[in-house]
This record gives sequence, structure tokens and C-alpha cells, in this order.
Amino acid sequence: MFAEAARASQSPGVNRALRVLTIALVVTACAPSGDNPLSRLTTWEAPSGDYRIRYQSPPWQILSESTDGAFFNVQSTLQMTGRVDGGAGKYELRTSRVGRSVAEEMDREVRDARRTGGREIVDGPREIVTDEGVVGSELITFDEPDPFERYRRVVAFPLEGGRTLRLDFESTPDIDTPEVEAMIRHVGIGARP
Amino acid sequence: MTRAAWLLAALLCVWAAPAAAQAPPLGVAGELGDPSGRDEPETDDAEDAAEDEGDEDEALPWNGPQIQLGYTYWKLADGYGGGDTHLASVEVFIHWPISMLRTSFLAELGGRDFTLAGDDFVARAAVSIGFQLTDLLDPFVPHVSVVGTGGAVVGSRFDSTVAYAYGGAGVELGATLRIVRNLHVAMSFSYLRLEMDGAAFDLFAFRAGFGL
Repeated sequence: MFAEAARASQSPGVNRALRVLTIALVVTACAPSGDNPLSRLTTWEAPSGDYRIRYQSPPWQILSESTDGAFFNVQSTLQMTGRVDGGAGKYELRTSRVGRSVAEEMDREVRDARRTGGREIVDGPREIVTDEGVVGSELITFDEPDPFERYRRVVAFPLEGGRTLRLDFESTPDIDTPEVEAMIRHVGIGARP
Repeated sequence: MTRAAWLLAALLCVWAAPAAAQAPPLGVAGELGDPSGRDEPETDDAEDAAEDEGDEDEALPWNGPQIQLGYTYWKLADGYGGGDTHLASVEVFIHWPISMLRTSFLAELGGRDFTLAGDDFVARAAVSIGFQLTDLLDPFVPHVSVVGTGGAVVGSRFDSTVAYAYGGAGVELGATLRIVRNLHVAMSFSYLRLEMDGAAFDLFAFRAGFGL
């Protein structure tokens, strides 16, 4: 006897479509919820595991890392379009550890800001708290155009052993924005929960 | 009677006859191309035909909408309490011999509130396949559809333009109310499960519109 003709539901096209739909639904179902902002951030953890930087990529990217810290940036428009190797990024972040307390580090930063010509303190030192409840301190300064104006935001969080995590933000646009503040609040301090 | 007397009597009869009796009949006028005699019967036929078509429209169930313009609202969460999205939509329907089969293509453009920076631009396309009741509650046409959708969110993050693609599927429930002929208003609610930038979003969308 002749084989029965394949039903519509058995045709290769329908089966392929069903497989794609199933995979899409499974992938969608397994993804973390978008209600949590951390689900859309990339995490870089210090090799020692004592702090983590969570950043949005793109536009942030990590350029280098060491045992002490890492260097992140957001490319300027010129860098993105003109293949310019040098120059400052639109935003930059350098992380490092220092062997002083948060208060000592901030006092030192304030003294440096007052000593440096063309630099003015915009705000701070002021308190900032991470989403995990770690209290730190920050200082925002502005450098006069030489040749470009530049904002700086130095944040210090306490680490174990009396040390301090130092975050050096720099940017050409205003740095005292909700986006930067959210990025600072997403910093993880201590061992991974 | 002489030949002259017969001729005089015939002339008197023609002169004395009523004018209507001298006019040619309508059928003859139509054949001769008289406009007044030709148009009147055809006008009546056209009106009768139009009335007949109208009667058929009343008798046949409505096949559902053909095109709709609308407004859509959903909340595509940004993780910081924002994400309200307002979209303008155009939906085009395809009619099949089976009127209960409902298929459409949808395109939407709009804006999304992003808490930490300026608003995002949102574009969306969707295909829906479903079932509609065209005759049971005519002119009220409820429907249920399965929706496949995809699109993009373009916004500014850290003063840089970024774009995210998204895609997903869901279910739509709605109803259409015909006002006159094909003019109608419509409303629908849908649940969509989307994936964007490695995260999943549960969306409850509301859409209202009108169309033909």
C-alpha cells in the first residue's frame, strides 16, 4: 500500500516552526526577570573576590584589569567614529584598593582638590550607600577646560582589613547623574552573597 | 365623395387629435434615442440594485475589521520604577474564506519612559493568528489570538546611543464593535513574554483603536 500523505502538522516547515517557537519560549522562560536591574548588567569581580563592579555593556567596556583593579570606559563619539587611540573616553572608571580608611582617603582627596589649580569641588564629601547597605563617601570635582572640561567623582567604600575601595570616575558630561549614581549603588562589597 | 373631400377630412382629424396621442410611445422613444425616455427606467434599476445590496449587507455577518489605527500602552520595566510605554499602532487584517479565522499584521512606534535618562524610542511589529466570532454577536466581534512579536528599543545610556532588540510571544483577548458599515472601535488586552538583552519581561498591554 502507499504511505499516507503527511498531515499538515507533520510537515517539515510546521515542525521546524514549532521547534523554533519551543526554543524561544524556553529561552524566554529561563531568562532572569527584567524587573531586577542587575539582570541586565555585566559583572566584573576583583580576582581576590572582595568587590564587584556591575556595569551596563554597552556602552561600558572593560579595557584592562589587574589583581588590584580594572579600567572601564565609555568611548567618546570621536573614538567610536574616528578610530582615535588616544584621548579620554566619554566616561572612565578606575578601581583600586588603598591602605587607608574611607575618612582618611576622602580627607586626602579634598586636600588634593584644593591644591590642584583649576579644580573646584562641586559637591561633597557626601555619604552614599550601596544597594547592599554598605556606606561610603564621595567627592565630585570639576576641572577647568585644559583643553577639555572634565568632571571627577571619587567614591570610597570600606573593605575588610581597614582598606578602602577607591572608584575614580571621570567624564566630559556631567557626572552627578542618576545613571552614575545607580552604577555606584550597584557596586558589590565583600564576598559574593 | 371626391378625392379632395377625403384629403380635407384627414387633415381635420390630425388637427383635432390630442397632443398626447401624437407623441411616440416610450419604447419607441428609447429606440430612437430620446434621453428622457432612456434614463428614467435605468435609474430606477440602479436604486433597486443598491437597495438589494444594502439588504444583503444587513443579512450577511460582518467579516471583522480590515484596518485599525490605535493606541497601545504597556510597561516595559526598566528596573528603577519606570518603563511606561506609549505607542501609536497600525494593524492590517487579512480576510480568509473562513471568517472566524483572524490574522493581522501590526506595526507600532512610540516612546518609553526611562527613569535614569531620557525617553527611549520603541518600535514593534507583531503577527497575530486567532479566532473571532463574526456572526454570533454581530455587530460585536470578540476575538482571541496568539501573538508573535519583535522590535527594538533605542535609547541614550551614559550619553551614548544604544539599541536593544527584543522578541517574544503571548495571547491577546479583545473585542470589536461595529458602528456603521465597517467603521468600528476596538479594545484588547494582551499578555506578552518578551526577552531583551538577556532578561525576560512580562508585559500586559492595553490597546484601543478605531478603523474600517
